[in-house]
Amino acid sequence: MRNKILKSIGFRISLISTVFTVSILILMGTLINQHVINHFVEQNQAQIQGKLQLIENLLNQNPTDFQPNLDEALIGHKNLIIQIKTQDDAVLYQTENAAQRLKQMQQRNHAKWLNWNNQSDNNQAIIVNKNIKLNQKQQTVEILAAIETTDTFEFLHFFEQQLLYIGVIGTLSIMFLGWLATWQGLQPIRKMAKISQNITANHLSDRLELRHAPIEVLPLATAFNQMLDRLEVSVDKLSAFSSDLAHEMRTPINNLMMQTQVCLTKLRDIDEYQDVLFSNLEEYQRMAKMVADMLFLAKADHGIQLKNLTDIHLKDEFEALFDYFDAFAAEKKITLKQTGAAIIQADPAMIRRAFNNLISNAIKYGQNNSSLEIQIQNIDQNVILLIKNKVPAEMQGLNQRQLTRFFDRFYRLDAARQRTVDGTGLGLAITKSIIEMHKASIEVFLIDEFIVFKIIFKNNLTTQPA
Amino acid sequence: MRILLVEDEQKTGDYLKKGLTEAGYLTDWVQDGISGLHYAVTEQYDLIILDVMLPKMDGWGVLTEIRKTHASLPVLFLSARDHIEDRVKGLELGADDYLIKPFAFAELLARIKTLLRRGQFKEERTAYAVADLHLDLVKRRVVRSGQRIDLTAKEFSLLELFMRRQGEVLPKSLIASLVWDMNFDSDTNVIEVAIRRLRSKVDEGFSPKLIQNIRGMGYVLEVEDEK
Repeated sequence: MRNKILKSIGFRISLISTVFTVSILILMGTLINQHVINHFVEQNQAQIQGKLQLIENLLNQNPTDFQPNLDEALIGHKNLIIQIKTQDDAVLYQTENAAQRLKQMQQRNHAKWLNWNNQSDNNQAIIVNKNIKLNQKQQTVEILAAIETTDTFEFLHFFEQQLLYIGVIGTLSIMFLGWLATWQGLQPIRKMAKISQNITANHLSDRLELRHAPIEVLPLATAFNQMLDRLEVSVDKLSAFSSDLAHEMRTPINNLMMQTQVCLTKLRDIDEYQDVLFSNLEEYQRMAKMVADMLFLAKADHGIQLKNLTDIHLKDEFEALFDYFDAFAAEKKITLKQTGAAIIQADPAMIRRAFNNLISNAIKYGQNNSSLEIQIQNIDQNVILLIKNKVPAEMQGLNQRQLTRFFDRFYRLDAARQRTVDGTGLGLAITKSIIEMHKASIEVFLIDEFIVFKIIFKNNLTTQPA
Repeated sequence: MRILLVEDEQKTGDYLKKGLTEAGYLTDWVQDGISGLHYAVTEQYDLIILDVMLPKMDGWGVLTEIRKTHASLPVLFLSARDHIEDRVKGLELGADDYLIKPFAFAELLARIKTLLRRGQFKEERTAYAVADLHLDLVKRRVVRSGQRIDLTAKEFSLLELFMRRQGEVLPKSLIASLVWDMNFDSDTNVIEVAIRRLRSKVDEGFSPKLIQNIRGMGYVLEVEDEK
């Protein structure tokens, strides 16, 4: 529980801001308070100084009869206490109750300001005494002037209290605001959590609203949305793939069931049974191959680490492949040609499989009596491979989007004509994943009546043949 | 030739045993690793076919134990697990071959023959003959009924393979692998076309027809039994 609170960002932020606020408020309050006190003290001192000057002047003007003037001068200054004494302690003049009010004064430090705190009646005063010489009589009198600061201090006390209240309220507000701001600021994160809770494989469409997201959270929110995008694409692909797969499996299984059932409806010749078994075997082989291809793709999706990288001389590689396809191409009267040479780093078995699929497709779908051309180009650090063949008229109208779908799993040119040409519909998908395993790229174009597959091996660092 | 088959799956085991017996091998079949190991070390076998996933003791364990006493006994692994690591592990432990399920039965037979033949007669033959067909490896010449037949280099290799392994059904995948070094199932009927061309040169106009297509299994070169 304690740990949980300590881990809360809101708690941490309000704690930190509270500590800062309290320190600043204490510092500020103390300073202000000190200045105000000083100000009042100075004001009082100035007042007393002024009165002392006044009394001195009055005494000098009229040493014998100064009382009326002095009374007049002191009207309205109830907080002033004045006592004038001779050196032998005879009181020449004093304000009302001065003796009593000054009784608490024990020390009469000469010309010094004293704070006089009478605790019983909570009177506070500033007091000073001064000796002056009266001109004519050469007589020294002692003037005691005090100012009652009770009011002032009451005000100061009130002021201090106000400061404290402001401080406490301020601190509490900062604590609350800190928490509120954090809570508010973390709103998008809570939203993320909420959206994440709702995310399942069939519900991936929710996104965070980025317009109102605070800039601090924006990168996180953007990354979160992008992650959802990627997930959605992958899940879509996967589910399309699964349903395709189910569909692909359904056809051979249906064939097997029908054939076997029909065969079993009556007694037949051995030859007929054999026929059914052979036909079944072909379906099984087709399914086995499909499963193997799919496993390969699944592994490729997981990212196969190519361990067996070696130098592949493309010219020799295609020589070998042409050798393999020689008879097959001759059946369709397709001539196999290649130009150029280059060396790439690749896994020999994998890359052969990729090229094999491309050539096999090119021959299968190529125009009879044409040629299949492979161009190997070395441009800068890149090796570019073009596989070009002439296609029949019905394929020449394909648009780029349809062409790109060649690499989709189970894609077939003519959906209705599904299984007439042998193969699982996974060949080009496998080729693409192998090419991408090698950090290369593959694209397909239609140029006039030719389909061109372009493979680029970037930053190829092997030394090339001259 | 005696073969020990260690396979826990009832149907697979049943049919493998049947197939192997019919192919002329004396076959013992056990269904778990411990019994497999027991039979392997107490009886005399020419070859062991070992499934990887087995009850009581897996194929790796059985192989490791067998290798302690029988260093050169050929062992062929069967597995539904198609990981390169598994294959490498199997071969490192001393397996002689590794077949992934599902596999063609003809392929299994072909590999068994290869393993059994290994180390038996090492004499290098320079010429083969079946019926009136003669193949000379040194002169690289093929003659049938005294008539010279012109073959391309690959057609020659293909015929050589058939002659060398006459009577053996060779699956298309094995042919692709041995003649063209294509070690994967190719999508196309490339092999069919190549063999059709070879047959047209070797068999057309001659009797008896030597190269036969065994539907769904592969091809074999043999003198067909009299009907």
